[in-house]
Amino acid sequence: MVLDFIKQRRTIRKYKRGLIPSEEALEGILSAVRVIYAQYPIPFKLYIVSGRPRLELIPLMRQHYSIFIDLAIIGKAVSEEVRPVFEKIMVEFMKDLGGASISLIGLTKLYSWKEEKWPDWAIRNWKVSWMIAQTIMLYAKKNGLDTGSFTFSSASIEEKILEFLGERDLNIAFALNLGYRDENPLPKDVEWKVVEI
Amino acid sequence: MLNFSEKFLDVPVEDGKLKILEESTLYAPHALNPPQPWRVVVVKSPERVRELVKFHRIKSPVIFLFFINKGVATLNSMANLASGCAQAVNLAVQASALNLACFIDIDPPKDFVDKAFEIAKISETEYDLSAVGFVGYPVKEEREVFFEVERRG
Repeated sequence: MVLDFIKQRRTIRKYKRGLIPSEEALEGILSAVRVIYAQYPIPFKLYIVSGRPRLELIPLMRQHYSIFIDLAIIGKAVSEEVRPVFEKIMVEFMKDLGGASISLIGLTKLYSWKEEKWPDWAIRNWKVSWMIAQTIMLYAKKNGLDTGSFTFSSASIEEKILEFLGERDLNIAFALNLGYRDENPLPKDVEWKVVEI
Repeated sequence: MLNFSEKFLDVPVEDGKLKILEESTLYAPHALNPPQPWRVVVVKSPERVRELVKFHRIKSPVIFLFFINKGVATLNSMANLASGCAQAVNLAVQASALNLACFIDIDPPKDFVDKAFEIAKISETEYDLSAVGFVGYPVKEEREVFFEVERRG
């Protein structure tokens, strides 16, 4: 049932190493992405990074680790009590980005994160990019795969990754891992915030 | 597969299906789990729907409004907007599975947005309308299309 895979989608930080998603599964995900993209055309490029290039990406991401931890604490996404567990998970994750066989990096044209107000075109590009990201996450689940977003919050790291990809005019909208899960996170705790009128 | 439409039948969506659609929207990704930064308002009373669709080219029997907390910084508010759009994707995927169709508008007209805040009684200073989902049974357009190639001789 569709609702089941929507509910079961969780951010996965530990993947079965060496298990490569089939071409059919990847194509199943990409065909759903094409449907979304046809509805909402924007400047967009999706990198599917695996094998050696993915290994080369890991040291760049590792530099990002300490900033990410600090932001998570400051932003209260992680409380002081769970900080040691969180740090342990992140240290393990950063060794090889969770061991997923594929990373997907979505690029589009964005605006400066330092600016408080973004122009409409940049907000649209951002929104569509995340619609694409969510489509990838749902159709991965439907095809027996799992995903996890790894966040960028540092302009200098983003710059290095773009340089690594050979891109000059685009920005990173999202980065996801794709693979077979090797952990079982708890079900998502949600609040019913729906009102009918 | 995803079923998008811009034309909907004037037929109500059954309550059972509506509940499934509503539940699907709660499972979008967000760093804070919970509290999630969103509020979903489902406009289904014909009177309210009529009030709202006056300001949009799409007319459907049910309209989902995805309101998202503005957040305290650009990064924070953009992350919230992303969650709202992910909710709309959940809605579209779930609607398609229930033989319904969906139209998602991520930048609706200003008049529509103003009316949406008014009828939902939500504060514009605290929230953004990140996406709107129009849902219903799609009008099946009867179009006869041919592309044939015939070789003889």
